Amino acid sequence: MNLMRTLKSFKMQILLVGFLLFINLKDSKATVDLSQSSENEKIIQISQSKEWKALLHYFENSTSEVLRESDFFLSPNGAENPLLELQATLKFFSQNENTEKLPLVGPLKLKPVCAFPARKTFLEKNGFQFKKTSCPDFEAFKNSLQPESLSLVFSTNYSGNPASLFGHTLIRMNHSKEGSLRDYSVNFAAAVPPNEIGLRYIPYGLLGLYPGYFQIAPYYMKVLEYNESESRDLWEYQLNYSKEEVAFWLEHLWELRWLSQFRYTFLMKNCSYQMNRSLEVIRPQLGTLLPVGNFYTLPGETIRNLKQKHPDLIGEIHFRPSHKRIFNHEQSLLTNAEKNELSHLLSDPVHRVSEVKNTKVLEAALQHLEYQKYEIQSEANEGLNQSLRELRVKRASLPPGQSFRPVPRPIDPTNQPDLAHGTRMVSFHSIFGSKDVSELSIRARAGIHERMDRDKGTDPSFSITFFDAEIAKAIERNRLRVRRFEIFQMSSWDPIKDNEFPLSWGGAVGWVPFEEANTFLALHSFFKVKGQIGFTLGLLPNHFLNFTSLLGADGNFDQKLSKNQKFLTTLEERMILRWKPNFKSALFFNAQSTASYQRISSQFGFESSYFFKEETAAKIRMTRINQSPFLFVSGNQFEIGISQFF
Amino acid sequence: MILNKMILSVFVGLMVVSSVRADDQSSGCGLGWSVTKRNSLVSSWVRSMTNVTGSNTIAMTSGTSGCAKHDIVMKKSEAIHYAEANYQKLLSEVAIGSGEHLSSFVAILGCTGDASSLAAAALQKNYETLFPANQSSPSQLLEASSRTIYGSELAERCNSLNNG
Repeated sequence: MNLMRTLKSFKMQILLVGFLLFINLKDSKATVDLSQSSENEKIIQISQSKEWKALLHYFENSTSEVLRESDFFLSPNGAENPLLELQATLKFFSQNENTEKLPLVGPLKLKPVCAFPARKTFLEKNGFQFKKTSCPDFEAFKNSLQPESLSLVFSTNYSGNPASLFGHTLIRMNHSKEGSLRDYSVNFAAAVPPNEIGLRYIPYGLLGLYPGYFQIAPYYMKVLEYNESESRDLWEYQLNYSKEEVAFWLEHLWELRWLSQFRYTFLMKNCSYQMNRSLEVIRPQLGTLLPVGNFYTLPGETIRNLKQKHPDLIGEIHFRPSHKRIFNHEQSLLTNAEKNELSHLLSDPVHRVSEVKNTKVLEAALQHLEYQKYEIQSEANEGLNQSLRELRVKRASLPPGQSFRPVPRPIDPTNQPDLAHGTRMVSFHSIFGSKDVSELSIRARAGIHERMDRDKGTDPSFSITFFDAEIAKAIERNRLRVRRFEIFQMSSWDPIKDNEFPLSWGGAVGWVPFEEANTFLALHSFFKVKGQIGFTLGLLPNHFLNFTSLLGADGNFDQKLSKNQKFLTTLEERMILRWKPNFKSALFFNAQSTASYQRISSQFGFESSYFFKEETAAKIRMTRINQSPFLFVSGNQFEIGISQFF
Repeated sequence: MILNKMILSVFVGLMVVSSVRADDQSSGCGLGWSVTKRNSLVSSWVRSMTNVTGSNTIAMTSGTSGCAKHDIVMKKSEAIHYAEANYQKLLSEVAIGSGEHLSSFVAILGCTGDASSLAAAALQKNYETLFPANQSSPSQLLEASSRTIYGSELAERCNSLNNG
C-alpha cells in the first residue's frame, strides 16, 4: 500500500515536474521566438533599405549590377536577393575563425569581415556587433591612400582624334597635401583581352560583352595620360563629403576594387556611370546621381546633372589645363618680336639655341617640342631628343623660375562641363519654300554639341550628334515626310595657329530621304556615308570669326540611284561669326558634283542662332538652292525654328 | 651626422641600383605606364571605347609590376616610378628650376617647404653635368638627383626619403 502510495506520489511528482518543465520550456521558447522574430524583422527591414541595396549595387533595380559570378556575394543568390546576402554576411561576419572554417574571399583570400569593410561599418551602425578582427591588407590600403576629400574629375574630349569622343570621368582621392600629383585616382574600365581580334572591341564594347572593373592608379599617371599625352583639359570638382563619408566610400572602394565585376557598355554603363554609382553609396537617400531617362551616359552630362540637381555636393572647381592649352597660352603672351624669335629658334633649335637668352622664348619652345614628342609617339627620335637637350641645357644656364603666369581658367569659350547645354534637343520649325510647299517640322536630336549651338561648356571646335531625326508635314498638301535621319555625325574644325596646323574633318552616317512631292508618306530614303577633310582659319582670336573649307565625298547606297548619283564629291565653305557667347551667325556654301561632273548642284545661304535662355534657342536659316542632285529643283527656302535643350 | 648622411647615401645608391634592375623587368605600375607616347588611332580607339585594362590587372594583383598588391606604388619604388612616368616633364622643369612635377619629385626625395625650392635650384645649377646627354634615363635622373640632394648640405633638410 505504502509502495502504491509512494509510486502514486512519485508519479505525481514526475507529472508535476514534467508540467513545470513544460511551462518553463514553453515560456523559454516563447522568449526565443519573440527575440528571433524581432531580429528577423530587423534583418528584413535592413535588407530592403536603400543603404544596403546601394552597398550591393542594386540601387533602384531588383537585381544587382555586379555580375553574380564575381566574388562580391557571400550568398549564391546574393545578386538577386538582398536578404539572403545580408543573412550570409551576418553569418560569416559572426563566425569564430578558431572553431569554424571561414570562406576566403577574392584574389587576396580575405576573411569575409576584411573583404567587406563598408558592410561591416554599415551593420555596426545598425546595432550589430562583431568580434574585432585584424585586417592587415585593408589597413595597408587605407593608410597608403588616406584621402581627405574626393574630386570628380572630367577629362575633356579630344577633338584632334575621333577616339576620345565623349570625354571621361574618374575620381581623385585628395590627400591632405594640396595639389600633390602623388594622390591616387579611381577609374572604371572594360577588360579587353590583350590580343583581341581586329575591331571586335567596337561591337563588343557597345553590346556589353566585356566585363568592367574598378582600377586605382597614381594621379600623375592620369595627368600624364590626359593632360600631356592626349592634351586634354582636366576639370576637378571637389565633392562636399565629410571625412567619415570619404572613409566609408574608401571602404566600399576596397570591396569594388577586389571583388566586383560589372558588365561594361560604352554608351550606358561606362566609366561615368560607375563613378556616380560608387558615390551613391555614400548618401543613398539622395537617390540616383545620374541623369534620369537617358539611354546613354555622357561623362560631361553626369557632371552637369550633379551640379544642377545636387549643387550642395559640389565644392571648389579646379582647372588643370592640357599641354596644348599651356603652350597656346604661353605663345599668346609673347610679343611679336618674341614670336618671331620662337619661330626662328624652332626652325633649327640645335644651332640657334645659343642666340637665345629670353627665358619665355626658351620655355615656349620647350613646350612645343615636348608636345611634338607626344605627337610623334617615339622616344627614339634623335633630332628631337637633341633639340630638347640643347634647349634644356640653355634654359638651365639662366635664372630659375617659370617665366609665365599659370594658365587662367578659360572664361569664354570654355569647356567646363557643368556649363554646357543639355544633350537632348527638340525643335520646331516652319519652312517656307518659293516653289515647294511650306512645311512644319519637328526634330529630335541627341549629342554633345553642334556648330550653331552655344559654345559655353563645350569644345567650340568639336561637334558630335547622334540619332538626329526630323519629320515635316506640308501645310497645304496632304504630305508627311522624313526630312532628316542621321545616325551619327561628328566634325572638328580646330583653327590653324602659329606653329600648329590641325586638320579639320567631318563625317556622318544616315539616311537621306527622297523628296517625292506627290506621295502622302515619303519614307523612301537611301543610306549615306559622308566624309570631309580641310582646314579652318581663325580670323579673329577665341573663335570669334572662323572660316572653314572642307573637301569631301558622299557615298549613297540605293538601287534607285544612278551610277553618277552614288558617288558625289563635295565642297563646303563656312564662315561663322560669334557675336556673343549665345549668338552666332554663319554664311555657308555647299556644292556637290556627280562622279562624271555632269551635274553640279549648290546651296548657299545664311543662318543664325540665338540662345535667349540657357537651354532655349531661336534659329533662322535662308538658303538658295541651285539644283539638288536628287530633286531637280531650285529655289529659295526660309526656315525659322525654336529649339529646347534638356 | 656625417655617418647618417653616408648611410642615407648608401641607401639611396642601393635603391637606385635595384630600381634600375626593376626598370628592366617591368614597365611600371599598372596600365598606362608606357603612355608617354600617344597611342595610334586604332589603339586609342580601343582605349577610349572601352578604357581597356589588359593583363595589368592581374599583374598588379600579384605585385609583379612594381606595385604593392593593392595598386599602390610601394614606398620604396615610388621615386623610380614617378621618375619613369614624368621623365620628360621632369627634365624640363629641372632645367627651368621650378614646376609642379618637380615639386612632387623632390618631395618624394624628402624635400618639402623651403627645402623644395633649394633642391630645385641645386638641380638646375648642375643640369648639364648631372644629366649628360649620352646617359639619360629615368633611373639616371633619380640617381643624379639623389646624389645632389643627399651629397650636399640639403641632406639635413631633406633627411628622410619618401616623407613627402
